[in-house]
Amino acid sequence: MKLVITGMGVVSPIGTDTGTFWNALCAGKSGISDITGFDTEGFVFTKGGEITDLHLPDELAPEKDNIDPATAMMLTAAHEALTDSHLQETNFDHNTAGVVLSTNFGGILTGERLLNPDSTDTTPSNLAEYSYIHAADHVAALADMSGPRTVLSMSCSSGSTAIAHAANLICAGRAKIILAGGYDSLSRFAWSGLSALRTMTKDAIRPFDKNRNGTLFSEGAGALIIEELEHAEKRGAPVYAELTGWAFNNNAYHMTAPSKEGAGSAEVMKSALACGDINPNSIDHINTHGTGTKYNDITETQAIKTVFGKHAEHLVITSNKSETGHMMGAAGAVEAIASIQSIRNGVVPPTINYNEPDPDCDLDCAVNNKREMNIQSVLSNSAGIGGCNAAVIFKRYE
Amino acid sequence: MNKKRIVITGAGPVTAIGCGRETFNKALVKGHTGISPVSLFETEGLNSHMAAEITNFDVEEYLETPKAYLDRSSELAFAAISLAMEDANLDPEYIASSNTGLLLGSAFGSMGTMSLFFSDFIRKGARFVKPILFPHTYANTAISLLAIEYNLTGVHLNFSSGFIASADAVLAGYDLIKLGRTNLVFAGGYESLTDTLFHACDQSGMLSPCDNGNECCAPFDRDRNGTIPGEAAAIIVLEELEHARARDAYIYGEITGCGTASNSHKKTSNGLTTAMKQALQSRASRKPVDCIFAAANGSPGYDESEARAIMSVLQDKSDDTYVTATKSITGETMGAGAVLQIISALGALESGLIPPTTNLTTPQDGLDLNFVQNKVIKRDIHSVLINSMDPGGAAISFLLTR
Repeated sequence: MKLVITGMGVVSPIGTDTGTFWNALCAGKSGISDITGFDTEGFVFTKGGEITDLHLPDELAPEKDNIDPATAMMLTAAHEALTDSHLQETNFDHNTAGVVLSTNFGGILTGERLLNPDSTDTTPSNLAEYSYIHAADHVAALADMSGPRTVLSMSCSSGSTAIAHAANLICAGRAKIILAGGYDSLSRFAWSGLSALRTMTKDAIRPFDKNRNGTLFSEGAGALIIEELEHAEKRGAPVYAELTGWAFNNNAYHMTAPSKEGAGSAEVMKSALACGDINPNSIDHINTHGTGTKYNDITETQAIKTVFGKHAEHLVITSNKSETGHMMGAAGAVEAIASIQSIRNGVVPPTINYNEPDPDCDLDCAVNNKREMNIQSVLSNSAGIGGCNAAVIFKRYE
Repeated sequence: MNKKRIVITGAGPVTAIGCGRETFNKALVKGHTGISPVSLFETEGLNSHMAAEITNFDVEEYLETPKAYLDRSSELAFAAISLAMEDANLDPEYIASSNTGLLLGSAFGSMGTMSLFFSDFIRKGARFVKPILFPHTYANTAISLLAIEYNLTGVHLNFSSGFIASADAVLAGYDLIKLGRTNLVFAGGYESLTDTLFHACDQSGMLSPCDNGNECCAPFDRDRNGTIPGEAAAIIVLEELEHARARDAYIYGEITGCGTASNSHKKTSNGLTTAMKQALQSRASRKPVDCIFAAANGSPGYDESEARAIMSVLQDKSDDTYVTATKSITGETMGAGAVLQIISALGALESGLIPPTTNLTTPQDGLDLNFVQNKVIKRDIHSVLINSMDPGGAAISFLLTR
């Protein structure tokens, strides 16, 4: 069974549709600025990647007054992906159409009202609006998808894991087409916690640079339509790429520190390759997790070397997070879309803010300028708090 | 899919009516309710005051290594995996070296620690939050802590899909074994009750109101007026049959069918009806299943929609299938509910005893099903259907066979 991608949707700090996002990414535009969505008084770190220009069309959410901002982002990305795949215009068996989303914080801006011991403005619908499955219910309604519906929460590997789980559901015969995606919004809750983890920087994300000193978090959503090739062909859907490999696992090592030499990350990349019976030498480009923290970028480099051996020298890597910021639960989904666009356009988007090489991060990274090259296969790698790892592999569809 | 068979070789329930498979199932068939006035936090000023709480619980009994801090939901999950491991006769060294998978689900995860952490931010400011708490607020905190504790480096999924969360975990385990990705997984769910969650449930209108002391969880009853929440963690061991045989494991039951679907927004199909039909598809026999463990929790719309889904699946053969809903005993344990019901069903397969739906005095008119009311029923049981349903419309159903 072949799986293909037939639709994509993005809401990111550098563009709230796939085209704008991709052009900004290739141009090396930064989505990072001073946070305005909440008062940063008292916070040490005050920069992030925000969505400030999102206007949810009425038809997406009739009761939109009660739509949590994170849900709104996911709905917007899902709507673009569904429109892109022409799903609503075709006849399909609705019971074989599913939704698999992922998020770290769900409807946290609504959730904060419930978590705040002093709040006086909670309403009866707040619990549902906060709950992690809420966005999936709304997304399913867009195309009346009545097949499998679920939500994963795997910290920062969420988006990639959702793609992998969706692929497994299709392979197991539980659906023929699945909207897989990830979303998260910035919030005071997340910000106070992420600040406390000491993984953030005060200036810019510099993945793989010698002077990198942390990541910056951002918000948004990504959605992909994953479909059985035969199903896609039958309904005349556009085919953007083939999904050839996927895997998820855990380091079983530490809640917040990467495993030694990226052992868990190496293992998940190996599993993704094995899952699709893919020769490691056929991978041309790796869209890295590349958070810009000291340890992530070293261990990820080590893991890539472990998996690819000599071929690691011929791979071109990049980190989209240098532009978008770390989109948390959305990161894996948005980076998967960038990976597919790389295949389609023959371009590796740049890793910006790069000044000084780090001998410990010595892979061939597309620094500061986009790299034009022929790309057959891309591996997109993700990892997260708790030691969660996921990897997905896309191949040019011919 | 291929011919691999997936069996259950261990179960670890941690519930208000008891911990461990045997203790839990014994209490369940006696109909001993776990519901009592809330003791873990203050409920003054709320409409509801009852819950199925886990009391006399000491997580120390279940930990391999000491912990500086654990959210209550993580504590329950630690106990559940420890009990499941023991029940399945698995030793920690073996699972640490065999790429064992871990798949869990929870509707509200670590909400207790989230509110503890956020309270400091609200009342004292950003500089005064406790950094140690934040890693314990993630939805995947419990699953990752368990993976670290037991070196579970295999497949790893944490579902936050509301009331079907643990059903999603079992479904994923079933599929991953079928697909040849693993031979052995722990699958389950957990849910703890906290001040914040109980208040939000109370305000949402889902709970049975106190109403002069008549607060009651009465699934399918004509006078039902809401549910009562409960705490639980429940983890089972799923194993490929040959793998289980090779290590001489005791087999409690086999999962012979699964279904997953959701309500159509345009109301052209019902998720649970589709899920049950899918789960039953694999059955060679045209005989109706012996028993259904329903998701019903005492909520007016929720129970009726399930009963009508069951009626549409059983059609004119509904007399031959007993229907029971045990949430009147365990409470609505949300993300843990489905696996708790699977463990209950394992008990029924083994003992032939179907636990009662307590508080079901007069079924709602028109819900024409063979309910197990207030009294346990004994019969020969070969097959059981287990339902799981989220109020938002997602549903999963399992067929379990002796």
